[in-house]
Amino acid sequence: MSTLIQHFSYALKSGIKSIPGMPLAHHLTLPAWLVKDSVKTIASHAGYILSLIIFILIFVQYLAPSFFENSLWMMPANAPSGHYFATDSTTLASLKSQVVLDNNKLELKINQISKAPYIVINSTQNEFKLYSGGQLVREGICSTGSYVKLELNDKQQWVFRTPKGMLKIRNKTKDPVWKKPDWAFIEEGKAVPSPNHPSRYEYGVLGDYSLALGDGYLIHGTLYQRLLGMPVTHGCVRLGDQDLEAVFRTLRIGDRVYIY
Amino acid sequence: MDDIPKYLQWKDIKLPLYYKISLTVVAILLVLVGIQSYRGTRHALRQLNSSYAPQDSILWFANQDDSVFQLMKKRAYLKARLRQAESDSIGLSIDLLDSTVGLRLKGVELHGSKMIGYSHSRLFDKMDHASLVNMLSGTLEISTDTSNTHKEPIKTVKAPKNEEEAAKMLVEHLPDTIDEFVAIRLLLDENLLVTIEQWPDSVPSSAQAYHDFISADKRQKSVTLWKDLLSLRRPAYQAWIRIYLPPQEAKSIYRALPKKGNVILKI
Repeated sequence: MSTLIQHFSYALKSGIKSIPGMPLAHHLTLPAWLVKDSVKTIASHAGYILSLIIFILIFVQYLAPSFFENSLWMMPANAPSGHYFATDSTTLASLKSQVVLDNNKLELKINQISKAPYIVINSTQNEFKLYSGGQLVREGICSTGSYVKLELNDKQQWVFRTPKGMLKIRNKTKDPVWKKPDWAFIEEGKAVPSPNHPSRYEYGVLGDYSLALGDGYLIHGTLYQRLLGMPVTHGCVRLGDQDLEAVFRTLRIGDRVYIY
Repeated sequence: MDDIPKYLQWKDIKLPLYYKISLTVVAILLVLVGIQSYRGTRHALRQLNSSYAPQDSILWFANQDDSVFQLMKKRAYLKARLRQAESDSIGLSIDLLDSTVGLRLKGVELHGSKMIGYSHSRLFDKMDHASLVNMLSGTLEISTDTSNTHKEPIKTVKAPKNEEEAAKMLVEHLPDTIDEFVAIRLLLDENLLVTIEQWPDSVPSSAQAYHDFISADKRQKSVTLWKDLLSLRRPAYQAWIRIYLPPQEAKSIYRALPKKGNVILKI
C-alpha cells in the first residue's frame, strides 16, 4: 500500500505516466486530465487539507478523550494529603482489628431489618414482591397509575399517578364498595351527581379485598385481569385475585408498602 | 537500502510543504492535548482529594497493607448505607465490587440489578486513600439528571363531552410503552458523572431516542473539548462511572429516583 502511495506521489510530482526503472507490476498509469498541472495542484492541495481536517476531527472526537484517561497513568497514586502517616506493624494490626470490629457492628445494625411483612411495588414495570419474615413469599404483576392528566377546565384536573415512597396499610376491607369520585364520572362523559347519590356506589368492581394506603389510594382487585402488568389505573394498585388474597392475608394494618 | 529501487529511496523524495505542515499541526495537536489533559486531570484529582480530605488527622497507613484499605472501604460503604437509610427518599446504591445496582428506601432494598458491565475513571484509583474512604462513607447528592425518557410520562387528555366521546377515548388511549430503551446521566456532587445505559448489544437501531441521547452526549463532550483546546483553558475533567444494565432496568431506576436523590458508591 505504501509503495503504491509513493508511486502515486512520485507520479503526481513528476507528472509522468510511467516511471523508468519501476518494475512492470508496479506501473501506474494516470489519466491524462489528472496530470494537467492545474488539476494536479488543486487535487493535491485539496487532498492534503481534507485529510488534515479529517484527521483533526477524528482525533478530537475519538482519540483526545483517551488522552485524559491515559494522562492519569502518569500521576502518582494516592498522593499524600497530609492527613495520615505510616504506622508500625503493631499499630497497623490494632487498626485492622478495630476496623473489623466496626464493620461487624455496622453489619449487625444494617441487618436489623424488621421481620414484619411488607410489599414492594415497581410502578414502572408493574410488578410486586411480597416479603414476610425477611423472605420473598410471592411476586407477580400488578397495574399502577397511567400518568394520564384529565383536564376538565383550567381549575379542575387530575393526574392519575401512583404515589411513590413508603406508605402504610391504613385499613383492610373485605368485599369493598367503590364510592366513585368526581373524576370517574367526568372521565365517562357523565354529569357529576351529588356526593352521596346512589350512582356513586359500585359493588364488586374492586375485587374481594382492598387495603387502604391513605389519600384515597387502595390496593384492590380488578375486573380487567388482562390489563394487569400495564399502567392503566387512576393511581391505585390493582392485583390479580389470588395475589390480592395473599397480600390481604399477609399484610396487617400498619405494615409497610414501598412503591417506586 | 540497496534492495530498494532508487526511485523509492526516501532520500530522493523531498517532503512537500503540506507534509511538513501536516506533521507540524499533528505534533502541535498532540502536545497541546497532552498538556491540556494532564492539567485537567491533575486539577480534578487535587480538587477531589481536597474536597473529601478528612477534617481531623486520622490514624492511617501508607500503602503498606491493602487489606486494611479494603476493610476501610467496606466500613465506609456500611456507614454510607446507614446514612442513606436515614433519608426519606429513595436512594441509589452502586456496588462496583459486586457489580450490582440497587434502589433502597429506609434500608430496604426495593430493586436490585446485576450489571452486565461497567467501567470507571482512573481518577478513583489515583485518589488519596483517606479522601476516597471519606467520600465513600457519605451519600452523594444528584444535582442534575437527564435521560432520553420522561421521569413521569404524563399524557394530557381533555375530558370528554359525552359518553360517546368517552367510549372512543377509551379505545384510543394506550398505556405507556414498556419496551423503551433508556440511558441516564446523573451528575453528582463534585462533578462526578454516573451514566447508566443498556448493554449496547441489546439496543436495536430502531431505538432512535436512545441513540440520539447517546450521540448528543458525545457531541457535547467534543464541543467542550474543542472550546477548551482552542481557548487554552484548563479542561474540566469529570470523574465518571459508566454502568451497563439489562433492558428495562435503567427505566425503573430513573423513574424511581427523586429529584436531588442520593447515591452511595462501593468501589
